[in-house]
Amino acid sequence: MKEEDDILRRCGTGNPFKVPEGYLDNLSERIMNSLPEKGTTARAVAKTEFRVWRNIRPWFYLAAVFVGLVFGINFMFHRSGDSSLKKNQQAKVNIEQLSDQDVETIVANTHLDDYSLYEYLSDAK
Amino acid sequence: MNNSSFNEKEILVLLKQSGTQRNAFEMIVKEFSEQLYWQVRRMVNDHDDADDLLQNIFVKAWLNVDGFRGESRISTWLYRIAMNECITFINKKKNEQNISLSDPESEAARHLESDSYVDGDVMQVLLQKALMTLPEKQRMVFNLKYFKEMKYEEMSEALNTSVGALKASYHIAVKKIAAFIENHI
Repeated sequence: MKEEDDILRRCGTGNPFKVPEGYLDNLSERIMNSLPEKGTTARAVAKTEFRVWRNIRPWFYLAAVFVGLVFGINFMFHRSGDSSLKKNQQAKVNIEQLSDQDVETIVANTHLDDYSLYEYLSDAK
Repeated sequence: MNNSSFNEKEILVLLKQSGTQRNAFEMIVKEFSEQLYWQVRRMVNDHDDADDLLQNIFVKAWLNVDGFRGESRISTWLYRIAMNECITFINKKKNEQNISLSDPESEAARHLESDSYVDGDVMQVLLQKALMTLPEKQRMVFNLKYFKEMKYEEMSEALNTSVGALKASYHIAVKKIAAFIENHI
């Protein structure tokens, strides 16, 4: 290429730059001294991850307790609700199926006063 | 380059063993640090910048040495890291200082003339000023071909660019530099 030959002829391939005295003599040594120990990065990443976990751990536990409480209360509430409904339905059926004689026997053997018994039997509150 | 004491295959074997890895890397540093310094220096002009970049290049290479499987030559691998670092640095500097390294009358170009670590003759300095007018990658291609006489195939691996594109890039760079020199003498 003609232009390339012109550049080579005029400017050559010489190096116009200089370096401070002795710079190149200990260049390799300085580079080697600047290298981190192998595995530093991996350990640093692991440490960072541990630090993050350590910081969020109390919040994580608190959230877990809260979620547990919500589920527990919800479960118990629904369970007890279902259970008392079934019991009520069962009681109603049983009471309705009882004969007058049976009711009298129950009343006689119950330590409830009349008003409480009335409340119970009539479902009044 | 002292090829008699630098056996790439042996070094690759040593590089894979944790007990000998650091020594093998030291051999690489001894072999390539100076030539890489000059390539980086031609890209950024300033000695302190080149020195900082060189340290970063070898730190990056060291931290990624386990991932180097020897598919390319060690020099190609290092040049790839070096050129990426240079482009990142130049772009960062341009953005931070809002300066144009490609303007022949810019502060950077004037700095080239007054820099106590620039000692070339007038034509060599003029060539450097002409190089500063090129886009970074074109400058890189020109430097590697013109000063280092690197083969296009190796350059292709280092710069991740096709041989055809590199040839075209070099051709354009030569035309621009020749025109610049013609206009400034």
